[in-house]
Amino acid sequence: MIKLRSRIVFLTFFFVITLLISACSNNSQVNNQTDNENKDAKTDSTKEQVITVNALSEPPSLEPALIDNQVAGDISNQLFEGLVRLDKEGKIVPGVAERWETSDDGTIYTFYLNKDAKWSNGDPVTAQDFVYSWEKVLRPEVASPLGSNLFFIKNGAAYNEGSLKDPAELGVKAVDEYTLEVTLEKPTSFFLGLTAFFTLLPINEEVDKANSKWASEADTFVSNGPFTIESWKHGQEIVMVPNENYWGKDVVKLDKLKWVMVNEQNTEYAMYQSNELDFSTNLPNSIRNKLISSGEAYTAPSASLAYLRFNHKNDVFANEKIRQALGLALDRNLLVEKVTQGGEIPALGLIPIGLSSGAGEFRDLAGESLFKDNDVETAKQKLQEGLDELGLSSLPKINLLFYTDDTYNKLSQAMQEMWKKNLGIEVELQTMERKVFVQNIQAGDYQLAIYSTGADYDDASNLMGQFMTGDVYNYSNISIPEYDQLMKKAEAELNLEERAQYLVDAEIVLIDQMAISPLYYRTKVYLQKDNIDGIFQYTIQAIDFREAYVK
Amino acid sequence: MRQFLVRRIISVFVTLFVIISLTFLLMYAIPGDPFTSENRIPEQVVENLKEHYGLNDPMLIQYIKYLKGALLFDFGPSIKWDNQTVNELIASGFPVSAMIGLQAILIATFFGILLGIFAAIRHNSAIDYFSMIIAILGLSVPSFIFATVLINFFAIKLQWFPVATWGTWKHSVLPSVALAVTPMAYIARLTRSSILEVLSMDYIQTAMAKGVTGVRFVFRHVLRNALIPVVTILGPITATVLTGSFVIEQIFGVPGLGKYFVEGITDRDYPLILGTTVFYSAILVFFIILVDIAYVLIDPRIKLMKGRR
Repeated sequence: MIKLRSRIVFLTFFFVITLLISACSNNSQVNNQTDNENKDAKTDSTKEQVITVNALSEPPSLEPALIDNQVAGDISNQLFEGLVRLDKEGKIVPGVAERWETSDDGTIYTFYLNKDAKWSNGDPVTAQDFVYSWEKVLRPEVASPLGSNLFFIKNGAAYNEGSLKDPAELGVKAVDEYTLEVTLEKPTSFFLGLTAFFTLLPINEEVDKANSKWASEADTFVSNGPFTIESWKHGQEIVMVPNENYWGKDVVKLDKLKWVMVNEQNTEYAMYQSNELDFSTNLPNSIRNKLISSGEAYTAPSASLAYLRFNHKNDVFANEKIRQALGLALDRNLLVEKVTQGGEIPALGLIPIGLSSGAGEFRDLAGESLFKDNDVETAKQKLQEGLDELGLSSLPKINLLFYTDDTYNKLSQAMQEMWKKNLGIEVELQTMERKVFVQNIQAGDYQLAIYSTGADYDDASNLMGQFMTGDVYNYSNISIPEYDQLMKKAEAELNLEERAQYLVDAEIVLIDQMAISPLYYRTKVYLQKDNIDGIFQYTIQAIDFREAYVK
Repeated sequence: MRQFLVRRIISVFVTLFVIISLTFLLMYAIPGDPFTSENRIPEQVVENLKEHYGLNDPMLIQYIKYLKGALLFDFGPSIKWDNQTVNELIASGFPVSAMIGLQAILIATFFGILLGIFAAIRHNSAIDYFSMIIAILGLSVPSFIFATVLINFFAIKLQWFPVATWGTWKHSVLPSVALAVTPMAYIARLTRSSILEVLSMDYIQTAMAKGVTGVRFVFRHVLRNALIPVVTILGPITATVLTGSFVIEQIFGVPGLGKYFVEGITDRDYPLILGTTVFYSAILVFFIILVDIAYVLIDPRIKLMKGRR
């Protein structure tokens, strides 16, 4: 019996250990194997023009007015086409509008629509469709979540607020069937590019009036873009086929574009490995760096920034020197390479790489870094000066708030360690559920927080307004008169070069004082099978599969 | 029996009413609303949205609307999934979750009881240790790890099954197995301990002394008594497993009901929280009644009217 028992114990140990080993070593074996299989698969499937991508989840809505998230934006961008679209390099090229004119003062845009532009049901795309679609976005009852993208249009905000009732007063008019005239509140350098954004995509007026739920199912869906929906199994799969009525159908090479809905990084990666996906944008955090450095994964800028928010109402953080000390004492290179490990780029300025200044890329104009990273000596000095100014011998305990998230967990611990080591400051960490966190920040109920911000349209000013005195999104209670003045000058300036210069100067003022402390710029990290080409990705605009193909 | 059922159904409604009211209170007690977001959304847009979904109404009106929705089983449109109503979400998600859940329950019950029986009748033997180690692994290894191992082995390495998504029966195999592991382990342990207890009873000892052995003995004399605790937990387990597992559905990209329970709350999608809660509670209560009835069938000594005073 004893002999038997010891054998059992041995056997079970053996069983458990093999299980563990196989679980751990699976990855490497799997990689080799699937690499071989990939090669086989490639030669087999060269002719079939089908691409499968991951939408992550069911799009909450595909009707442009109701879209508020990237998933739905990416999907709808294949189905609809706006007045303009972006080419491979991100330059504005004709979409539904074949050409356009701008008035000298920059407030009136006249779009001449392509007469070959048709809806998938054969109807022509008319100027009236745009008037109807944009009015719908702004209609208060529709409650469009991104309706503010149309506030640049004359009376757009007033109509949405309900203070103006007559839609005829909106700055959008159909001059004739194929001519659309748009009047803006004031010159808006980025407006033309904005007409490619998903909130401004057109819908078919007659279809929408006949059936308000047309956008919910495949068989009632009518769109004007390169693709139409062939089938839509909610929560499961959307299959797109080329739109036979699309004016530019000759450039569409795919026979099918499939969207699966899998919202799990490891599963997505496994599907990519087993050739169930051709393109993957949501890689497991743990292997992102490895895949980037091995050249398997590619990176692209995404106009998004993680930063430290100081509450300027707090006595300690009202002091510029203390803020500078905290900001300078961080080693962002180390944070990005060893902690977050998601292909992020250390941020030494506010505006992320890839965002426009209205006159060229902002970071090219402003330079990459506005301060020195990991400048411990200066940080120590600033801290001492700050303490002297405040009349304190040491900093009171600081509370760092963030929402529950794996990356932020690790990030906050690393920063806590850096502050302790470099400055001898004790920072307490506090985490909250996301919406609770957001409410606390909005109520100004915090000292120091990890926050992030992203641009909604391709212009640096989009991220800068929120730090002006009294701005509704200024949850940090920042008030720097010099910054406000520069921003106001930029707003009023019609010359794009000069406007860009004001924005550059404003950023310097903001960051010099460490009104916020930038941490890192996020990047898009993605995998793409070698036999796939022609997928266009942009900093802000949704992904474009119009010209994608299988080699 | 009829009287019992009538009494149970009345108590079901009371239970559901309490659950619904508590859910309402808790739902609104969580800070944040569906439109709280880090994105810079203008105040008037948020105001339009709140108006659109009736969130500006007084609490009492909202509560009444909410009760009405629950009573008619019509929860209205989801706040997050604009183009679908909560009823549609449940109608499309439940069959998928139920299919996986049913397969998982069958696997879990069959193998769980089998392992339990072998472990108990070969008490302290190799089989016992082996079964219980499997059971302990099943209970202690989180299902997402197990699911990942299944994917790596059966989907990537052997390529027997697809990694994820939904469609054919093949898609349902791995999620069902992954979902079955924990309940199976639980059932196995429970069966084992309960059989061991029964085995020490006098009537069994007598039967054994008389030389009764074999499969018939186990099934007729031992199992029928030993299974009562197993049946008791089978009710709640079935209700839970049928209504979907967030983790398993997430990992296998299965369009089931599970994600709505979790995402409904993180999104503060009030109608969805209400819908899923009422639905889950109804199923749970239904299975508890079913268990009560099953007791009588298994053990004639139990009388449903026993609780009557």
